[in-house]
Amino acid sequence: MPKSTTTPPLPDPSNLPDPREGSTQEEKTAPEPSPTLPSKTFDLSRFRISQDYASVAKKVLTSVPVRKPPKQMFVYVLPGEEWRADVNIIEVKEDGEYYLVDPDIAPYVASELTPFTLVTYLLRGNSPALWPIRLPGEDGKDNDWWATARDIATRHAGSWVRVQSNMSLGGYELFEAAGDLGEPELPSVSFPELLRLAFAQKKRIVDSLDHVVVRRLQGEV
Amino acid sequence: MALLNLFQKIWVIDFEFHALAGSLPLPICLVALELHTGEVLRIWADQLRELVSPPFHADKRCLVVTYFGSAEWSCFLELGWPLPHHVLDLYAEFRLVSNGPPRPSGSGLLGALVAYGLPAMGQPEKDANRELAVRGGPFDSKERLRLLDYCEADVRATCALLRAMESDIDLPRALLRGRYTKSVARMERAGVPLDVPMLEAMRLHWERLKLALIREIDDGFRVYEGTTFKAGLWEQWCVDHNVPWPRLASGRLALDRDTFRAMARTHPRVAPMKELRSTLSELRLERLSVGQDGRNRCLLSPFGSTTGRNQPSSAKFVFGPSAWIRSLIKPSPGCAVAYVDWSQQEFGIAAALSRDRNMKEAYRSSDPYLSFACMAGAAPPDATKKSHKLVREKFKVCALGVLFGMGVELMARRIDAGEADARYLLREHKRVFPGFWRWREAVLDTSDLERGLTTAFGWSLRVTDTTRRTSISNFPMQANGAEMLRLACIRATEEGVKVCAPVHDALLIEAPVDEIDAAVARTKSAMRWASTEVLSGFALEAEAEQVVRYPARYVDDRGRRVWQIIRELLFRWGALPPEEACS
Repeated sequence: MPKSTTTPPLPDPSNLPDPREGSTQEEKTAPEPSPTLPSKTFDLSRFRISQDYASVAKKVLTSVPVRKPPKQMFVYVLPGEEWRADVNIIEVKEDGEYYLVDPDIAPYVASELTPFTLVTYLLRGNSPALWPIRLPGEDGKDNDWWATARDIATRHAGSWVRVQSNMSLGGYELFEAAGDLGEPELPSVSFPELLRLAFAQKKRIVDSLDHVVVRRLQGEV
Repeated sequence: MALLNLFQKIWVIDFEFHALAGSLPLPICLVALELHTGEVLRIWADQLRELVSPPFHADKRCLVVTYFGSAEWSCFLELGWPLPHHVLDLYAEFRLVSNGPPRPSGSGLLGALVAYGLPAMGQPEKDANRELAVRGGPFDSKERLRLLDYCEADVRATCALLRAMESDIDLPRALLRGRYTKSVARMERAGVPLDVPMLEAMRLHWERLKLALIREIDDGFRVYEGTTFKAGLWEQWCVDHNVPWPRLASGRLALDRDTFRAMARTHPRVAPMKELRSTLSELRLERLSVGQDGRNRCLLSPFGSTTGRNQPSSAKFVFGPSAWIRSLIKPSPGCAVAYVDWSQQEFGIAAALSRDRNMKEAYRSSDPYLSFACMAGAAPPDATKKSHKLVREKFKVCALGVLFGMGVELMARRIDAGEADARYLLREHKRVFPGFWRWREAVLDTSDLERGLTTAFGWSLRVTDTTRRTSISNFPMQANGAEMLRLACIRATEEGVKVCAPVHDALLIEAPVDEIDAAVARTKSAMRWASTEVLSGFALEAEAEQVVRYPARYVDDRGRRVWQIIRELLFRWGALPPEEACS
């Protein structure tokens, strides 16, 4: 800190330098800070701090439900074969749960298998889900519930629809959105990753005969 | 000290001055200390007035440091001195570095010294010295010495604070804030022209006026007994008129100012009662700060709020809580005033910062709220404000409410509808403006990860566990809005516009009648420029909502009825000259 000046003389105004008259020799040789400082200029862009927060956090998908579309919500079935697959499923109706069966294990649990198509759809807000739709059995047996669901997932993919069961018709009926619900955003992960999140993450892939579902069906647990 | 080596001279200065409420300051003394050499100047008032410029270099090679600089620059202006080139206001910087958590010792110089662990003069001693300055002259030689010593003590304390704070100072942007303090001084000096005869008549008859106002306005409500507002009667009025009034957790009616203000917006018939209540409970006419020249002046308190907005005393400022009192604003003969404000400033900021395509498009339309309704399919493309008034109002409440995190329950109340309607509006907002919601989430994530947020020109909020999520999500809009206003004030005042007062998202300016249009154009241009600087090129338009030429007066629609009643009463009582009856 500078030393205190306790009894300063009052300056004579006529002897004071007028800052508008220019600088002393010493001042002329020193750097001028003003070009980098925003004290006169109106070009402030170089002093601006970015307001882009987008890169701070990335949304991570942690779970994908396997269920038919909720009856009161509009959904968007993704068109394209890359967003669907035919698979063998063990359906535990009691729990409303689906188990994906590894092809290597399938021959050993053949009597429990049900063929399904898993179709990717988006809920409003673009969260993905998988719609398990029954395929005809090996015997070719089919019904209107399955057929209407397959029809909707095929012919109405690529638009916002609401799917509702109609008991008197014995099948699903379809409502198309009257307004423009906007373009959906594709999932940030691939279909195999959706399968992993829907099944592997929840231990719902039957990849050995020791799997709890197989043991349960065999009355072991 | 890297920061301080940038400058050849660093003058830390402080004035003592005397100022009556609403009047211009009378400098008593100045102490200035040059940091590199230790040179100290102590100058008494009589010699200050002989100087045509400050007694030290204040050009672009020099830095002038203060604590609450607008007061110093007011003294500069009073003395006719040019303002310094580079200004660093440690008050603004202390507000900034401590913004968020409570400041245990306040934000005055003493509070800042305590926060940095520096020795400080005791508050009683400081108060006694300040009282001496406030008392005003004449001062005997002992008193002169005491005031000069006190002033020097503050200067030395400011020097110590500067050294302690140096590493916390973000220099280029700190100088921008300092530059704003010069604008504040210019605006405080300009003040707002008032109709003084009318004010004096109102002050003289105030107690009688209050009783008469209750009689006149309560006639349509019947909720007062004498001068007492009865909550039970108000509840009955709300039931009778189908107004779903909000309640507190205790079950009692919420009767605070904000609730009345919000309800008056959605239920216009509540508005006169809101005006009456704020008039009776908050307005202290005698505290309205008016100088001898008839102009309303008070400290604008720059950087006073968490968002960095000005926070002038609502009792002293004419733009305080009661809208009708703004009708006291009246340009002086030969002059005009104009109120220039940004169109939908907060919505525009949200659109620009979130880069949501639809939100930007809505902002650029002539009516963002109706555009939102159209985009949601709730109104046809050819809808107008008139044809879809109610729909527009609901979408407006949603568009603005979302910015500060309004939830379903509150939104339902504000739109006077059920929660299902509010949910629908929120769902549509998310669907139509998905980019905004992603950005909003990112803002909250950033505040969690970095424990703070910063605006385009460096105003920051420190986030703690107790900071409300709604405050965090609204911070970018409010605080960047404050930055925008500061830049607009800087540009307008430096380009010679006489800015009487900044008002949230508007500027009140004054000019001779034949120059007001040009002044409005310059102000609009400054405001547009400020928005593009803050929003990286996205322009928010400004409009002159009112241009009032003498002898007309400013009118705020929300207070029109109360103003008319007051004027008629005063006229009836013979308190106003006949010509006032039609003004």
